[in-house]
Amino acid sequence: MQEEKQEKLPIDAELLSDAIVELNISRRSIGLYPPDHPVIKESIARAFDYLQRLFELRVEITLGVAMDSLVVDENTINKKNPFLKEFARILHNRGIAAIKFHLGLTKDELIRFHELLTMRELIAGSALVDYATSRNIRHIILIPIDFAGFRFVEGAAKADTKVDTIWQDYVSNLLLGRLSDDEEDVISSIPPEELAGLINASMPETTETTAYDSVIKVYLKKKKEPGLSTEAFNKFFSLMFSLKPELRKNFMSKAIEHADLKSSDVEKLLRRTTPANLQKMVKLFTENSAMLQGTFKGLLDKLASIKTDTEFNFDLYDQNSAIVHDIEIGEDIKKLFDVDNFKIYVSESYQQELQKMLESSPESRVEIEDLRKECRDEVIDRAALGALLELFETDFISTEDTQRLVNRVLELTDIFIETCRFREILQICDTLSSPALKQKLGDDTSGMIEAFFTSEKFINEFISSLRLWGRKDRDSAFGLATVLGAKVIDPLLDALIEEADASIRKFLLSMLVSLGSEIIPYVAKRLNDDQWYIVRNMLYLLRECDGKSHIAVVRKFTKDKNLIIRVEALKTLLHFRTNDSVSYLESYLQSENETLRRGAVRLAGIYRITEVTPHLIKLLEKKDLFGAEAFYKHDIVRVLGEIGDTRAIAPLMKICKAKALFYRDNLQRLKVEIFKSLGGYPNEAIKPLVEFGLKSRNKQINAISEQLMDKNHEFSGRRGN
Amino acid sequence: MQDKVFEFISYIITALSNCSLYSDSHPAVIYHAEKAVKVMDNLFVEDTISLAIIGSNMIFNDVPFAAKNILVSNLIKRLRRKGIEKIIFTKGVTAEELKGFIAEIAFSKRISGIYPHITSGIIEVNVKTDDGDIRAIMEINIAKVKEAYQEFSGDKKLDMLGLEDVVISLVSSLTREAGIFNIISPVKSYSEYTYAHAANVSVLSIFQAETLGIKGELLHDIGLAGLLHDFGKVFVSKEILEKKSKPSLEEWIEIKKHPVYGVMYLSRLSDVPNLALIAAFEHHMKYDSTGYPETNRRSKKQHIISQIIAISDFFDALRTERPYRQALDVPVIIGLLMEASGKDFNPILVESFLNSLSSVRQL
Repeated sequence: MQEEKQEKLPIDAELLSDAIVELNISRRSIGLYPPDHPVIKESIARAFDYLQRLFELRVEITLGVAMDSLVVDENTINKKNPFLKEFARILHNRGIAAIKFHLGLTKDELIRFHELLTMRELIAGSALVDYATSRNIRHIILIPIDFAGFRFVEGAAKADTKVDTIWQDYVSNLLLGRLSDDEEDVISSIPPEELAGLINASMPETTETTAYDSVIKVYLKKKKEPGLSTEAFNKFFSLMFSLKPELRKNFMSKAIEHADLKSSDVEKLLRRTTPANLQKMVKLFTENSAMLQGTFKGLLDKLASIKTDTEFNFDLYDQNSAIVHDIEIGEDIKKLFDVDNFKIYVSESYQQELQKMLESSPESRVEIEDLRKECRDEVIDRAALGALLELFETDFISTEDTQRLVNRVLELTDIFIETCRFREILQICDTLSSPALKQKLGDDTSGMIEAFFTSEKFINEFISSLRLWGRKDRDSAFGLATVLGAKVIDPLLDALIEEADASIRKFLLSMLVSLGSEIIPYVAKRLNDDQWYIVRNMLYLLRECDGKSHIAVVRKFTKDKNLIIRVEALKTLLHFRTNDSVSYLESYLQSENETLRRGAVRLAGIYRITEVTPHLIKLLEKKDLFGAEAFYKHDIVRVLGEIGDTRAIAPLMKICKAKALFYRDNLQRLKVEIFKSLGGYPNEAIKPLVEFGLKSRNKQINAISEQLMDKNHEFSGRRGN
Repeated sequence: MQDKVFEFISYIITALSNCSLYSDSHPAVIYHAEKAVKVMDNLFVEDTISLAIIGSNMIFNDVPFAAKNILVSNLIKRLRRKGIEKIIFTKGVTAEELKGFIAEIAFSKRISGIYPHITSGIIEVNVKTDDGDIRAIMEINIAKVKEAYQEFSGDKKLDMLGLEDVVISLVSSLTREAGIFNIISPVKSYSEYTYAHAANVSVLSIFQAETLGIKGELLHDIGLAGLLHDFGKVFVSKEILEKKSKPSLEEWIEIKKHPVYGVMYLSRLSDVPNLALIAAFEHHMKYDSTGYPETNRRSKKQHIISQIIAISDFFDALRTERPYRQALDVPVIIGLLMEASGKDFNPILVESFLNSLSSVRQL
């Protein structure tokens, strides 16, 4: 399959190639026009016509598909034709290795084959062959790629890429004088340095003169162009510069023999030659000056007279910057290019300095770990997203492009949500919801964005991600939930109910709390749930999110059969300081039920309800004949301290002075607890107790009293007296 | 069936992404590996199922997918970079086993082959290898870049797999060839500049990254970012870019848009690595946050890979002559890099680059 060397395809392959081009034109047009549009119909008709002419020559022809090339018999059909290349790729991507066209093909069959190529449903390989059969396409046989035929090498891994040698073939043939005139155009399209490399590699010095002539002719004596163009002249010299010195000499001498230049032509060429090339030419001609004569001698003189100063030309200046190519050079660096600076700068001594600096500079200080951190997928994704979002702020991209960008960003959102990247999604939401962008995008696109973020799919994925990894980036997760607002509340409440892991439940609760009073109507609806723990959580959310408006419902729960719910309801009433909350508290404190009583004691401390101090004192003073309520009494002492009501001091002093016959240890521990709780009372009020404690034989009580004494200057002042 | 296969692939690639992002013990990796195994169980018609890559196609059980989505493209890319062309799953694969295999794709240099129900390898095709002239390889690579750039049109996508091949070749050239100066291409006609420059910036960036200890997938992404850093210029008029005289201010304003055009187009392609988007957008930003495009990013830091590419871009661009300006010699460019270090360029990267250059050539 020597495609490059094939001059003309056989007529049958030509006809098939033409038919395929037409089929691909109609295939491409199907997206632009309706199926019965004349463009499509005419293309199919022409394809059919070519195939009929082909069948006059042979009854069957097979079109092979090799990646992006089509092969007929031994010929690769015009590999550079984009239509054929595209058609080949379409077939290859559909897993088709070959197509056989048979005599007897009808136009209807060809139309059905065309439909098969353009159908939206993407089926491939054997499935596509079956489909063609089902569509009664009998004279076009599809042959699927036999992937099973490839050999699997277990455990191996791919390493390198291949090297193409097409130009090598051209150059070899050029040197042998075997190229046609048309192919010489190909030679002139090879970059001169590349050509020089190939010549250096394959042309011995002893090569016959004709080989030199062939090369020179390609550049200097092109038949189609009268005279010598600047481009050809420059390319020829570029070729010369890149040749081996021996070959260069030979080529120069042959070129001079060939050249037929007038002095005026030389002037013209030199004016258009780049400064860098001029300098190189001087060198080249000087090296080969012995062989120069006539016009070329004049050329050398001209070159020698060219001023080769070192001034650097910038492309242009923009404000304080100078531009080289597409690079902005700032003011400081620009100064280096000023003539005087530049001369110093490029001077040998300065370069030597540089060399020394480089030689003496220490090894790179780049911390590879820092570099890796910047190259973590997460950081890269964030930076890429940042770049994309920046595009929304440019004023020269079209609305169509902006909409495409929106689609891309939403695709990314799908990926981010799967990988719990709330920060990035929040950034996307913030950008896409900016008023300026909304105005630019119009109602339809803005509506589409809103629909995306409020879709059930997105919300569900968000909730799944939250449960999976939400705690990792708590702030962004909360921020995103706030942006999504009402849509996310019910799913979050569902997730809270379903969640088995206590720490995740806690996270979900705190997220719901972060949404504020917006959640209250949704929470209120769930207060009627049968599960006690759900009601408990809803009462918590009511408290945290200012759900005072639902206090009447809460009140009912103070009579609930579940004691935990009753305590939770009381807590809610106390939280909102309802008028009846204290009376509920008092009744709980007097309850026979220990759970209620304990809950009430705790709440009295949390909310510092002074009104219940007498009740607490009463509970504290209650005789504990069996020592069973010792720890309960500890709680009461602690809560009294939290309330800080001075009415408690005298009863506490009484306990401190008490002596016990039984349960002495319990009493000692209670006394210690009393001293620990004294910090909550006004200083003046605890003075007698502290002074009593300083005299105590209990070391712990003594130490606490010392600390209290030190903290309070008033006590300290008197201590010395 | 195709839907199931897509589902299977999507679980694998999501597990792989989470694995790269977090760790192989992350709940999302375990979750998606479990899901993949569950879906896989329904895919077994016989005792084995296979996923193979031939060219740019994914083949499942010897039948190609006609359609591709971002996940399939990603998996093809990840496996190609790992040198894997075929994976065979045998009945009995566990989530733990799959998770281990995924972790190896994500992190390890080589696949250990310790999995009883998963084997991977290559598909033998006749690839002609040639250790010949490094310059010839570079020329072929430049031709491929040119082909990819030129073939791209409104409805035709950039041949990313072709460019991936170029990067694989450049990385391998650097491994074989000690001298970076033997690899980077001499500057040719300005119309060819874009492609040669893209390849040179890619090589120089890979060179910088390698000397900083970067390997594997990240190195390939940096190579691709180098190849694509100026892709936005495809959208700038050729008359402006290939003009023989100096550009006007209006033309310069148009040229300055190329980072935006670049990221705009590249972002539409699912298989372009994010690093390439970043570099396309930021390669003319400077270390001190000046430069262009002038956006709200002024206050933000240029990504370190964009800093690497900016150095390569500067280095190669100043080697190129224009009809109205001669090229600068390498020692002069190096001096300029040093002078601009700390303001235009990250001083640590400049130092590292110059140290590496001086180790391969006396400047």
